[in-house]
Amino acid sequence: MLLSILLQAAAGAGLAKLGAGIGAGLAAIGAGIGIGRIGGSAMEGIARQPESASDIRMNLIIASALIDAVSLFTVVVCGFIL
Amino acid sequence: MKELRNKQLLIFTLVMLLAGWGVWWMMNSVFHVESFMGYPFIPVLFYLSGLVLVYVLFRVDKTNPRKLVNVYMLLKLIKMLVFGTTALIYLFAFKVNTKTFIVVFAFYYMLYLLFETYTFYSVEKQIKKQKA
Repeated sequence: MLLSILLQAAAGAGLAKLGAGIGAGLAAIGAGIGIGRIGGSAMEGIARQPESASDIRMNLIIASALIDAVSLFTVVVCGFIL
Repeated sequence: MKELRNKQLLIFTLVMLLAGWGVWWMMNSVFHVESFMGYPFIPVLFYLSGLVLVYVLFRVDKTNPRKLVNVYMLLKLIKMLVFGTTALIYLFAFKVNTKTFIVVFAFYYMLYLLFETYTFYSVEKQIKKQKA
């Protein structure tokens, strides 16, 4: 009973939209941190071991593509809530 | 490298043609959703971005490993900026059905992401082959 009242109040106050906005923001922050760390670590790795640059680049590309896909997925879910 | 570039371009053109027609057909015939205004603009934008990606990637000096990483990251940044800005402008300018637009745009984005990763992978493989 109390839960349903709370849910109704939340729906009336537009908390779902607030949640979607916060979710999208968190996804963007997470993706930004992830890609930044990947890029930084890759540059460091290449500077330390230039002979393994090719392998590092390949892993960099795959990891950043994964982060990209996950963040897009999250943003789409948040877009549907709005 | 030139053959690989031409192969990539051919694959991308075919995939985008198929996707452009396929999504439009699915919206109209399968899901019975009204295809929104300016829909052809989305596949064209992604196709042009793919062309830029391929031409830039195959023109860059591949002997410098640091430069190659910089180019990868720069291309990713430009892609996000261009697509993010376009999606926002599109939503505000055309006042389209938001949910349909998000699904279609996300589909093309995923397709582009797949192509981009495959292109980077092919280039890396080719560089390794040339070194060996």
